[in-house]
Amino acid sequence: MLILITYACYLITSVGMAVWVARSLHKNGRIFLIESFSHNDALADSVNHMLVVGFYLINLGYIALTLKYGSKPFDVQTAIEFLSTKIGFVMLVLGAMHFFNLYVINRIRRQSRLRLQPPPVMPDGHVPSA
Amino acid sequence: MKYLIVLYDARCSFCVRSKLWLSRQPQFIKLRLIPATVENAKLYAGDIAADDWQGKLLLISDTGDLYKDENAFIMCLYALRHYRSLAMRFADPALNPLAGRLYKLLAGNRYRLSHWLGVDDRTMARELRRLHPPHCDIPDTDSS
Repeated sequence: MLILITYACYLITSVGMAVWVARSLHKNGRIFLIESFSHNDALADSVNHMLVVGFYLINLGYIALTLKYGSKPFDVQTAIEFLSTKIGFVMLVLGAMHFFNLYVINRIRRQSRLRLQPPPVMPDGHVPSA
Repeated sequence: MKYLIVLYDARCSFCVRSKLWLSRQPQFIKLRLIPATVENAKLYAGDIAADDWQGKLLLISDTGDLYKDENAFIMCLYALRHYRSLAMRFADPALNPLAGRLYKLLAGNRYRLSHWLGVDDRTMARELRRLHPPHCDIPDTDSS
């Protein structure tokens, strides 16, 4: 019975956390994406949606896969330790994915900004017939 | 800016290698790489560069802006997608003297560098043929 309660706690907490992070990223990342894609709202929304789908797939997949790993709890203390370790790993994966997403989007943003940069040096002359 | 005309020294194997590298890079601005000859310098750069085009890297934009030496070097990098950020850094007053020295070092030793970083003889021969196309001397038969 204890193990079932621990599993239930693990699933509820980790899935809840993944949903909260995904929703938060989806909401707050939109402005960042719109700027990254040169104010192309439709493209930014599409990428935002795809990022959230990928985020859910990876995180829920990780949560489901790691459910059975680790030494099984036999009292309240080991149950808390079991939960803490598992949720800790889920949080680290969520954090790593979050920073990876930020890195990738920032790269796209830099590229789109670079595209619009004017020439960095002044011309040495002008050729009228060019 | 739609395109940039690059006049490069086709007699130098290192420059030909650089030209091949440039043409393979993803570009924000299209680079039209043309061997530097008296005719090409006059055609694209007009009177401004007609006298002192030799030994210089010259860039002419579609809007008529002319860039020489280290400015042309920076503009070449500016045209490339993966190197535009480097061009912006080189144009910064803090790094601009370094870019100038790097350009002078490469341009001044380009024939020496050709020994180690040149292209194969066949590619070089193709470049030189573009520079000096073979003449076709057909006798003038109408006059007879």
